[in-house]
Amino acid sequence: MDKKVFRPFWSFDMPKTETWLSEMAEQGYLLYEFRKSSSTFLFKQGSPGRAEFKIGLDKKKSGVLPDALVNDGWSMVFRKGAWYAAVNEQPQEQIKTSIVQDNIVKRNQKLFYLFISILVFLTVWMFNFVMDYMWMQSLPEAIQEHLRETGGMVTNPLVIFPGIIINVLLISLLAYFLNTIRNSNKQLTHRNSEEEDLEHGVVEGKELIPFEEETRLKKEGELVVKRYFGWKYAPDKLEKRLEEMEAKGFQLYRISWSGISFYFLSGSPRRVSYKTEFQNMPDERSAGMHKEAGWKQAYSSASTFPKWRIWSQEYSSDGAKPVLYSDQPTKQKQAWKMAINSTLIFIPVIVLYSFYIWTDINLASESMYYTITWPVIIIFSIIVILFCSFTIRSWLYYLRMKKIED
Amino acid sequence: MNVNKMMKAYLPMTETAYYILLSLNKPRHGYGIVKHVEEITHQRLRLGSGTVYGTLTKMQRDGVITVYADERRKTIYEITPAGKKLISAEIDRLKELYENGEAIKGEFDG
Repeated sequence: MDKKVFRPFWSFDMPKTETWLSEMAEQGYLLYEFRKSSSTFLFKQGSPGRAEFKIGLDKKKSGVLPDALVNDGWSMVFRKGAWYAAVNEQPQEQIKTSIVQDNIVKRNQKLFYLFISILVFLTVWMFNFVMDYMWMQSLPEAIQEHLRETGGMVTNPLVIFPGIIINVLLISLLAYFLNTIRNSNKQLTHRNSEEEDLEHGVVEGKELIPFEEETRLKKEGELVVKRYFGWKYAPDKLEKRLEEMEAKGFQLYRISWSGISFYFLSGSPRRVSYKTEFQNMPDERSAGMHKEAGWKQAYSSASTFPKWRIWSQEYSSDGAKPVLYSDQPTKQKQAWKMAINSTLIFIPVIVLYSFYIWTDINLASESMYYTITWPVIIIFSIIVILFCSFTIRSWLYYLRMKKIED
Repeated sequence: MNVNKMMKAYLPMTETAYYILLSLNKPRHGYGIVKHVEEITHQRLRLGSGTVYGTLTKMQRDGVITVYADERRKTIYEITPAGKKLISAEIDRLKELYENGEAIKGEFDG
């Protein structure tokens, strides 16, 4: 008897789903087809056996597995759109290869942030609603009646309580999904690569110094702090500054969580190449490649979208200065991505706030009764000027990167 | 991407793309590609890890190469049948350029 199993949300915890498919095989049910729209897995009954399953996501939708996987005993079970599954019936100890599941991690990460936004929205909305409702209850009946008719406020308990229950259920479901995705992604990325977080912002290669010791060194001038505001809009200038400090004998030791304060320890001068890296989405594979090429991580931004990293590599006097991007097109493209990112983030706010300021000033000049709300106007103006400066500097950076270096 | 579209997009090839594909005569991991290119160009080409990663990502998206993970969960890059056609076409193109150059070179010397 063939089996059909409905398994909703199968894509949130891939290792668990894959283990489940192996367990089905052990019971004699081998996966042979998948219905994506109904999240249904189809199994053919046969003799029980060991089978390893791996599910992958490949936007290219082209059919074939790499030769190395085929030679290792993997074969394609199904392919539905971008999703596909491979099976290997050899004993687990003999299987040497696996598929790369980076795309699944990235896709689940995007879902994670989407769910969080929805969760926050629902929670705030519900909180607001409950507050309004309780406030309404405290008003005299006549006013309540009036509000009900004119404001359209819903007070019918038959509508409200189920509504709140549904909301709470939705929130709990989302929280469950978020937890599942977070754990499964942790498992998947540990499987695919290793990433050490920089403890307390200490650069790779240096050890954390106790706070009292740091204070003492600061007093003696052995520990120097430099603050670089807004370096992310002209990262090449930061790179130069860091390299100059190293040449003077100040070795980078720690960067504050905010990414503003840079702590240097006095020591011997070094030839160090510093390169910043901008990514719209954090990519562990590229970080792994840089590390293999000898780069040490000095900074990893607290923000995830986008992700900023600072890499460093010491080099000898007779060696060439190491670079992350050895070709012009890639170097330019990275700068372009960063400039576009700044523009997309800042332009809406600049436009919105400028419009508000302009409207406010207009209203004030036309009406005798309306005066400009100075505190708001001043704050908004400062923000507009700041954001304009960030955007302009980002594009100036791009123009500098377009030039070909000697 | 089908092979014809691939040819239009990638040919003529940059040195970076050419040497990366050439290195994939057998599957390699990212840094292995960097080291191999350094070797066969006698230290002339030192590809930056960012450059290699960016190019490999683009090639993977276009179906020129594919990936898998080895025992140590490291990402290994492998050339696809379409990628093999691509690099062969480029080698032929370079052969034509080289042969024409060699034939005329004398006229430009001195």
